[in-house]
Amino acid sequence: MVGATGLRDWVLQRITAVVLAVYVLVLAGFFATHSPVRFDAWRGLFAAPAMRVLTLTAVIAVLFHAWIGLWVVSTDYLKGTARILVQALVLVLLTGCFVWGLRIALGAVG
Amino acid sequence: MTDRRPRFLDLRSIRLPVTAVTSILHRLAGLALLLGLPLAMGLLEYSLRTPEHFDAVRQGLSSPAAKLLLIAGCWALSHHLLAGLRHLALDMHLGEARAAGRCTAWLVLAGGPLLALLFGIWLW
Repeated sequence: MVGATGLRDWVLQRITAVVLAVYVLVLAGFFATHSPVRFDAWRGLFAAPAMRVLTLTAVIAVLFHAWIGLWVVSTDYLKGTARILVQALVLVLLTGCFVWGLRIALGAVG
Repeated sequence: MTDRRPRFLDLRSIRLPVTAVTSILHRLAGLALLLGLPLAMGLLEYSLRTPEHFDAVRQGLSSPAAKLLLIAGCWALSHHLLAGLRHLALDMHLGEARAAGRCTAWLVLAGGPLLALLFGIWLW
């Protein structure tokens, strides 16, 4: 992140990567064992307490992971205003996804 | 900054090594995943509301165009995940030699389409 040491980003990027890898594997496992996917099983998956914790963790992880990743890539290729603009857009997008993700994880809809 | 180094940026004759191809695709796939994230989360939230919403999402995703998009997303996710695992291995000093690095880069490059293919078979 801006003004921080690269080491913190480096460590955060890897911790969040592992969290997201686990989340993807859990989802892949669900799809592999539920074909076709039915609504009850789908909703049951995301309503399960363990899965809520995992979804919440993944939502937080993706916020940091995508921000660090896009910060690194945009800093490599863009300069000046373009870079600030793209990074601001990424932050807005990710904040929106974060709030939306909380909604899913905490079950405001379920 | 006055930079007097020689420059060679003829994209038609630059040949990237396989490790560089895997790396740039890791970045591109990451960007694609970010752009796809709002769509995926929107669909997820919608599909969890009621059985009718769920069926609407199913219906919406059953067109060939939507399925192709899902398969492309699966490739991006697979490539990004595999390339990430390769990075974690490198961090632990595994596969750092040039030959091993090239070999694992090829594995990542091949693994993405393979997983996307498997997903495509499951999907259809």
